[in-house]
Amino acid sequence: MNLLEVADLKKHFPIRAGLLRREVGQVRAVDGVSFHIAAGETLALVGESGCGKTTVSRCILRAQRATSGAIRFMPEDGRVVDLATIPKRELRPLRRHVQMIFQDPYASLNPRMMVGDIIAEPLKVNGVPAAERRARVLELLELVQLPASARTRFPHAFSGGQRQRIGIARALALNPRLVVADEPVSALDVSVQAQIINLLLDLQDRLRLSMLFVAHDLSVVRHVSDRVAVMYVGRMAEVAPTDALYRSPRHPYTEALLAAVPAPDPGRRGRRAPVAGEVADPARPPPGCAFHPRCPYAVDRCRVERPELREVEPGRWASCHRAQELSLAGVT
Amino acid sequence: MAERSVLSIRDLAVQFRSEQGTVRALDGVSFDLRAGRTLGIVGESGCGKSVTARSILRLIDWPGRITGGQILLDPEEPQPTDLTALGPESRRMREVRGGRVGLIFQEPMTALSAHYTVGNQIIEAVLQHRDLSKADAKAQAIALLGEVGIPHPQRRIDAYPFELSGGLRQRVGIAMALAGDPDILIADEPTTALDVTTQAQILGLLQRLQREKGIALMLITHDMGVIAEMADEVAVMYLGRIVETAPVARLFAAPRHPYTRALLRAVPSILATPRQRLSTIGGAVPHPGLRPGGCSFHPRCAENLGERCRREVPAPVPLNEDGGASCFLAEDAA
Repeated sequence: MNLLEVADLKKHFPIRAGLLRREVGQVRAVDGVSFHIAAGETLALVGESGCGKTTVSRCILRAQRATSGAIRFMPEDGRVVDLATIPKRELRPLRRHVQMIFQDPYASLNPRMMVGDIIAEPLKVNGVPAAERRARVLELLELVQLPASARTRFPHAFSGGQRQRIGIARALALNPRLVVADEPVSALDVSVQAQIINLLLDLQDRLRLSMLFVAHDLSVVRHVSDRVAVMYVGRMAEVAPTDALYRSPRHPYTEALLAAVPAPDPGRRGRRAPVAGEVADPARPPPGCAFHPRCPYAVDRCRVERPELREVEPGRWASCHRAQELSLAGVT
Repeated sequence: MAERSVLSIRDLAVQFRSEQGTVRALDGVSFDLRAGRTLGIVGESGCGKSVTARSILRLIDWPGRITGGQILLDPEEPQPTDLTALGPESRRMREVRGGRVGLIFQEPMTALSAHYTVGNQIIEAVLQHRDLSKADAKAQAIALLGEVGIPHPQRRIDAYPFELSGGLRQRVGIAMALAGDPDILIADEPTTALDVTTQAQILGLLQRLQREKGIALMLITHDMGVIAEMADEVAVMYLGRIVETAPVARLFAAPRHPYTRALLRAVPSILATPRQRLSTIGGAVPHPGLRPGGCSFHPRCAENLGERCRREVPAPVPLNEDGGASCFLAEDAA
């Protein structure tokens, strides 16, 4: 069994209107999403705004309750729980196994707490004795390459990159089985971003970290993830090993996304025309395949029949009726 | 190439006063904007790229002020206008703002009001710069919306900004910037808030408009990919100074300043190999108020020469077409 298995996850939000706040429709923010994360693996969840990637991560963290579907999680070997349905009472002891790294290192650290206390807080909540906490904090600071003296200072004394290291140390304090990182480097300057990307790569190697990496930046994702899951309007477009996905995408939306990323190489300028149109409204997704109005390969079937996510070759899934016949361009 | 220069910035200095002391936000910045060309300005936060844009439009608010240098409009004409000599609210400056120099913001709502329709705002901007009847101005506004690729402009003209997607709002922002028919456009991180497929569309739109109108475009970004896609010439800024200028191909192929070299190696790439680590630059960008002496990059510079870089400020980049670097290493190599 994998560390995490998400099966047919749905999260629908009601649209209410009028004096009586009657439900007049639904936003299908997540509409039947399946994927897994193996132990020691980093899966990137990518897509444009409104695709539902953040809602998926919030359902896994149970910051939001799934409408339906299963989120099977293995907190220790041989035991499996469903994070989608487990009662709140039983959820609490599980929280230590799933930790979070936030996007904004300025908003996610309490300015009135010393760094040592911030990192120790999850340990304290979980009843780790004071002496042990102290030793663990020092260990964690070393792990994220901050000096031991950081312990007694306040967050404001640190730069954005250093604060993100503090947030990472806090997330790792309890040796979580799974780390959910929501855009952990997108608020950082390039020179600092590179440091944090390298740190995450180090931690993956040293700790065999399992990570769900939610991101919109496909360049960053190519560096840090083992596999990539691409979402579009609440559905999974494609799931594949990272290098395979970038070299030879199997879904036209993945092809369009990759083509849109400007590469830092003037020799590649203007190689492809950008995909037309805009991301569909998840409150009124187009019938059939949600990408069909923008898809240069769409045929009649795409306009009426919604494609399911299918395994198109071993280890690769795509939800496109034409996945087997199209030959799509990647970036190499 | 040497297209006509339409705007010359010479030795521009901007300071911000605060209780903690004076911050030199810009410290001797010089460059030219040329008709039909795109100058990309790239740098990390605090490098002064947005202050440069705001200075040109005289939008620097107290406690900031221009303390030196010139901003010459039409430098090749017999009588150039020095924008630093104009009052920020003078009639001439208001004509220049929008009429000669258009500004595109990162967040289009900066330029748009939530309370008026898109049409009202563009018509207003058109009337500010052109002597037209209301009906003609409206026709002009519809034409502008069409020009920036907004579908059904006759209908969209009555929409409020909140009814539009981020991509359409940025198109409206561009239509606003074009309302006074400027020949210079300043785009300050115009696609940073947008999704990547929308970004590609907006960059394509800017390229098309520039080609059709021969606009001089100054494109401010932190994204080396956007620079590679868009710029003809590039200026790299660090802590209020330009550390390198170069034609875009050379900047990527043979960067001359250690900061540019380090920055290019630190950029994540869509072409990376699996688990590829990045070169890093030690430390972080210091606060502009805590600018190191000598070359301000020296504490983070892997190639620094020690004493000399700590004490002496390297000469600014030369103002020729081939550019150069403000660095002793580059001087010695030349």
